[in-house]
Amino acid sequence: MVDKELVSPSIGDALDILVFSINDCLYGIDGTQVGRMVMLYEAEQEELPVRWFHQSLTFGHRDVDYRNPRVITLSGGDEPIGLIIDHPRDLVRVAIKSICPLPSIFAKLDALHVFWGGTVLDGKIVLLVDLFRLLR
Amino acid sequence: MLGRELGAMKMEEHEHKSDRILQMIKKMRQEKAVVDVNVKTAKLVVFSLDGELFAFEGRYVREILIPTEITFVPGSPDFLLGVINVRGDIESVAALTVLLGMPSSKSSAKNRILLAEDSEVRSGVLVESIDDVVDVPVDAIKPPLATINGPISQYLLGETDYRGRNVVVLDLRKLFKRFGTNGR
Repeated sequence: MVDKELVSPSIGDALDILVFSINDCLYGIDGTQVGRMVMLYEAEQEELPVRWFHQSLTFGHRDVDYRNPRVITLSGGDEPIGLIIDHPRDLVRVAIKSICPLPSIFAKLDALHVFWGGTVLDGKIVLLVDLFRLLR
Repeated sequence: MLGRELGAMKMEEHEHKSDRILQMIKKMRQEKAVVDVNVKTAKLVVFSLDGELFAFEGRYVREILIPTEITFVPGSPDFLLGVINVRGDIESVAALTVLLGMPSSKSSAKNRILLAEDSEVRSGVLVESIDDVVDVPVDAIKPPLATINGPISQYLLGETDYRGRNVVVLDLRKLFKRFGTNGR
């Protein structure tokens, strides 16, 4: 758990995260990292280069089904690029103290560096994704 | 007269027989206790995989958990099944069968997750079932057979016997070292 004294005042006690799901697993992105969210066709009209979430992070042999895709962009990003996510919810306010560090194995595996923490919402684990690291 | 004396002696013998037996039992127990103190033991958590018995040293096992929903983590190597919520903390769960090059575990109500920890890594390890937690003399853990080959040979600590069956004792620290190399 996060030591309160280590939290800078600018971070505050809570974080607004954009929660979305891919194949019924929940992911969250710090809302301040998200520039905007548009429909897939709007991104196509803008000719915005996009990446699918499941192509940025391998899902192995699992089939990935997008039912309600949206494109999000990185806030203040130099290069215009969008990430296609699925089934976004509203921003969810999460107390900093309820965010857990991820298991030590995550630090040992380069492919998992995009995940920086986790929290539990309604009994389900939400993996927190660093959008900056993912799109960089 | 002599008969009476003999009878009294026999009675006395009978009376003291139970005392002697008790003394003998106490002595035996004391001797056993002395033996137990002198013999170094290791706690082993014995578990099953694909019909075979394996064990981890108990000193690395923190908890034995009943599996809950395992959340898949994209980008993770094959041996990492995902993460679980353990009383508000998030723990990883590894598939031991993948690391050992064995067929996947059968899903059943007997499945358990061993939450294990060494100095660097803490992770759950999914096993088919837990058979026992036993104390065995350290001497009873023999060096592993040189004929064992395949991926499992990298993780052997030794072999021992449990109820007449062979138990392969795995070196958890070596398994956890592989975590940093994508299990390869």
